[in-house]
Amino acid sequence: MAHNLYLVFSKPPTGVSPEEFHKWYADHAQENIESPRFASAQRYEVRRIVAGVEDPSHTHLAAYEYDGTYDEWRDHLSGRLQSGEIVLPEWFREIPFESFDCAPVGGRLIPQGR
Amino acid sequence: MSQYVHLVFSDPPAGVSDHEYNAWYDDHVQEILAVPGFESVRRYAISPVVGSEGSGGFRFLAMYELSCEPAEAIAALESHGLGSADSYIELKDDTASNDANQLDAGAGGPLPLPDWFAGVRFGSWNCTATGDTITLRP
Repeated sequence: MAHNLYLVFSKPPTGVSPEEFHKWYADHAQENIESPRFASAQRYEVRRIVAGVEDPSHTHLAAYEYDGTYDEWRDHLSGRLQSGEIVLPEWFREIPFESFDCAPVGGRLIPQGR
Repeated sequence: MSQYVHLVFSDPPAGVSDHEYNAWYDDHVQEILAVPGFESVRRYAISPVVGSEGSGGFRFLAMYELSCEPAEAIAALESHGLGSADSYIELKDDTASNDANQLDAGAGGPLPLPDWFAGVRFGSWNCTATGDTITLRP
């Protein structure tokens, strides 16, 4: 059974260097997947090209694989934030985020005849 | 997950059922997977969660795993006429007007261009991993 996917696009907020952002995000992703039902996380540098022009609205993607439902880990993460187990940087709320919850349609497809 | 990924978000036009769209898309990805660098694909139905108001209301995602840097894979895609919706329509028009191509086109023949294709909205992203896949600590 294929995993569900949670995709989070972002970029460093004004005043936060890419280095600082990446260092924080690596720890943040590891911390996140310690909540139940996560299988893995992968971080990417991303580029979106629209009609030959780069759209700079997001430069970073975190792709989380998980099983079960979104609510299970979302509620668990909220609890860890409220208890102070997870502490977010003061610039967290300045990060431009865009996220998608993704449910598999069929399995992994590979080239026919390969 | 793969170190190099190409993401294609899409939204089918009104009037096309999810069943019809998914059936076409599963065939269409085989055209993409015939291009060097495109190793496999996973398809998803997606729901916006945070800050997605401006993203265009995409409803589906195709996540291609690449065996080379995205710029190289996209250049190969373009050289096959598959780099954009417009070039794909041109490619299909050429194929449809050339009977010889149709006869030569392998098992099942070429995939016809759906009459609703021009109404599909696409958005694509190139992704290069910043490090290894993060998994649970032992």
